[in-house]
Amino acid sequence: MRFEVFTDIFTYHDSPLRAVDARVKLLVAAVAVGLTLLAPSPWFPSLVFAMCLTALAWLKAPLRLVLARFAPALWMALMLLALKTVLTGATPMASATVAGITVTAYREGWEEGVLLAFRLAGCLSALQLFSMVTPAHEVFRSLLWFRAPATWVEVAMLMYRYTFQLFDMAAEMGFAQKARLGYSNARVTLASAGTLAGAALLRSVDQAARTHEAMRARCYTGRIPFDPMPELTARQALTVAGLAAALTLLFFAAGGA
Amino acid sequence: MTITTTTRRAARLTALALAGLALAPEPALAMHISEGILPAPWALLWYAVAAPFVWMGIRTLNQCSPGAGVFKPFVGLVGAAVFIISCMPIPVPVAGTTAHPCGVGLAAILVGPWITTLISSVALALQALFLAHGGITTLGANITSMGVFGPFAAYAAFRLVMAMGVSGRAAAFTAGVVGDWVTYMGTSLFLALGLSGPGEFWGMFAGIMVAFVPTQLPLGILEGFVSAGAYEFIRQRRPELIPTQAREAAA
Repeated sequence: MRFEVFTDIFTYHDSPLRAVDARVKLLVAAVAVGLTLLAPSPWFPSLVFAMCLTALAWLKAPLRLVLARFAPALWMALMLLALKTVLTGATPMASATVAGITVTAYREGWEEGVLLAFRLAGCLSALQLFSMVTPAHEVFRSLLWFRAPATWVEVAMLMYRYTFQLFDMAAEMGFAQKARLGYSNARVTLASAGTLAGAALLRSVDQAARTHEAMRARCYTGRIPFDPMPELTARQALTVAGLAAALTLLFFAAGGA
Repeated sequence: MTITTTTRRAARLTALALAGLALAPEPALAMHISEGILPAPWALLWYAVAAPFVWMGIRTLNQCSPGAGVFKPFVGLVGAAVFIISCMPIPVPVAGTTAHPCGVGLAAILVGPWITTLISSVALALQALFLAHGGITTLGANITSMGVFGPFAAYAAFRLVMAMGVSGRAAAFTAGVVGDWVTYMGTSLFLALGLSGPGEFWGMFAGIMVAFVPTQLPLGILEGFVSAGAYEFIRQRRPELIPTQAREAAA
């Protein structure tokens, strides 16, 4: 499942959104995330969340994958909601005694916590929709077009490409260790985990040498060559402007700023 | 609100959080601030703080890898390995969960803190985009805690322990523990700064710190053992990969 969660394999499914230029999707996602972050009430974030979930359902995104990606963030949202509710505010909303400890929930904290949780859900869903319809290599090309540092993008590409290969190797080693009781007690577990980490690093070094040789054989001169992306067409620019305007209107209609 | 009141509330919440964690044996990922949590001004501030460090990382990498040198693929591949290490589930007996190391201590020992900042920024961006772990709006804050605070503290601890003449394994253990705990404290600090109202900072900071103690405290120690094990494994098999200063100090 971890492979499915991290890979961009789902983005290769045919869909109308897949065909849209990555820069357009990136800009629209950035506007949605920015406005969600600025929203003073949960309405706009919840609208973004609902729209993105609808789009994901329309794209038939696997529910298990969506839940696996959302779960850790939602756990943090719940923790912060609990913290804000109990620590912030002066108007008691409810009170309960758990194991002899009286805990009071405050209205102001609850409201702030709910806003935080919806902001998180809105931003996260916008970004998830983007990453589920945009393959990784298109994201990297777009970043270069937006003038992200070439060295940073190259390192990102190498990391993304080789993570899967090293992951397979580490998983195989891990299974082999487990089969030979390498995780039978705490002491052995720590020794096995350290060996596995060291082996992953050594394998990465060997792979780096091989990769470098292969890159040199393909005329590598210190920069991975990319096809330059064409300028945005008028239609693409209008799409970005239209969607950004629509989101901004929704933002103000939902009580924004 | 008085400090006593906030402290009392934090104590109450702590008990609840510990009970909640005990009842929810979920896999605990290395602690990142999730998307959309930080208010916009704080998110921008942490981007501004992280940017010069990432720029220095890029500059260092370009200097170490002129032309078509092997160092750039090496950094990419070490970054991938660190990413894998950060995904390795290790059982945490106290919390009944599995936790994942950060890997920044080990990376700082092998490639130095500046390049570790660069690797962390890439890893965090990939995690935010493809794993929904962390976030793009909180990327600056996460880079500052996991890419700046953690690696620099880990590297300083490693050098300090080596200078004291203790074994490389002990130094790697210290670097792993310090790197993890400093990252965790940085994240808690940024969350508390961004989310607390006037007079609530200490209560919020303590609440967040304590809520993550069941996983982060043992995780730091586990990370220390894993870093020490990996360091020793590399030192025995490929000592040329251990940075010169560390080799000299160990000798």
